[in-house]
Amino acid sequence: MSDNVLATFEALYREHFAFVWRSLRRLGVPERDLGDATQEVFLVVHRKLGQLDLEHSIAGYVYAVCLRIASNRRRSAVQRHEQLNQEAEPPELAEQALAADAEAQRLNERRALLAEALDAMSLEQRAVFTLFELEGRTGEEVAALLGIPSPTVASRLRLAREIFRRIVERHRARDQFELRRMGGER
Amino acid sequence: MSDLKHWLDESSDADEFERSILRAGLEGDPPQTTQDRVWSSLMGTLAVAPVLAATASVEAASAKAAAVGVGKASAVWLAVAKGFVVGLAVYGASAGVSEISNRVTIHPAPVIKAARVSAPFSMPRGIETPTASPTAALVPTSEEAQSRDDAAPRVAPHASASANPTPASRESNLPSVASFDDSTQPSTARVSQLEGETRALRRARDELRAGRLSDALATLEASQRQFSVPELYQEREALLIELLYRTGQRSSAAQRAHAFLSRFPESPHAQQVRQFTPR
Repeated sequence: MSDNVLATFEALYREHFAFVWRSLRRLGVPERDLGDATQEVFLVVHRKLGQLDLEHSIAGYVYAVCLRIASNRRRSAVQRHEQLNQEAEPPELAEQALAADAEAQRLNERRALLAEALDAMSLEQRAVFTLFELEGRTGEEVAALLGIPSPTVASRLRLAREIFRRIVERHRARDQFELRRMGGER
Repeated sequence: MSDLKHWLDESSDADEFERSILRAGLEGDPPQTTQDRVWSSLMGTLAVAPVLAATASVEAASAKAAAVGVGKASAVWLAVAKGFVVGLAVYGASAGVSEISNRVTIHPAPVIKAARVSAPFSMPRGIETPTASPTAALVPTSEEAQSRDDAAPRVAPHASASANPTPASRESNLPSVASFDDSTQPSTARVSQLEGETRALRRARDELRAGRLSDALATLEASQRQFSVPELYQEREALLIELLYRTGQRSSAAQRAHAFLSRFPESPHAQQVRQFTPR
């Protein structure tokens, strides 16, 4: 690797690392695999370095690679009958969670709920939803990143939001049922 | 399009509970140490290809030497050189430190003075004679082996699942980035030793590329003396086994290979080492 190529690659890596990491996590790559998945993304980027338009399309290309890697890992996980985001906690972690304060528990519950909602979406919907709602991109930016028309972004976002709300409503209903049951037992 | 409102926006139609769920997903970015660790691993992976290319050139040199009748001893030494280079490729990938990453992290290279001891092997004409057994000085002591036992590189949890890669996940057959638990960050001294070991091995590899085989051997011996408790015990042991084999000491190689495989059955080098056990 020449000095110029290395310098370019390193600059690209430093600029996009956090985005790649966040994106892979939000696309459902489990925490334990994030390092390896991130490495895979940048290996692909490195191979294609000579063909990339360094002035314009890098973020979109990088995100497309993230999507592909996440999709591959998702498929492999399904083949291994794993659940990506709902892995059983080791006993010691579960005990720690019990001992944690109520606020931390609430945060964990909400994260689990978000993961459940994201898992219920297709990867395409999930990409639009997380880029828009969590990454804070505008609709136009999401369209440019994914290389799709703006109406498609709007449509996927609408469907993703519906799924999100359905999961949240189900959670609320379960909570209310639980409260009523506990009230009845008293 | 631009009229779409983010749900985290207070004026959107999302309720507070929905917003709180989204906020729970706004986790922080990974720490800088994680970024550096992935970079090191990445550079280690990218370094493998050039090293394998060097192996090919050593093979070509071997063939050329045979063609001009340099002799059997020369061919043996070139085979040893090939073993070193292949081993260094494995080393580079496993250590996650490469020539590139070392260049990025600039440190003054230590001056390794090659020591000369007795010479049980005779070198072919035209190649400077090394003055120590090519393997004896590199044989780790039992204390080293013990001390390295706990520090042996571990394969990431998912690595075993990659043993049967699907076509869709062929990229995942890469050296795994080790644990990302920051509580297990190596100390500065340990990182410094890793860098030192890597530099010494890189130097040896360069000497091999230049055909200075005895210098390469001396550098490796010096490295062994300087780092008497190596961070990369498994890598060195795997290299040593290959060296023993290539220099004709096949029973010793087999013996060490068996010991290696029983101690480190999950080692990333197990497959390489296995080929030196009798079938």
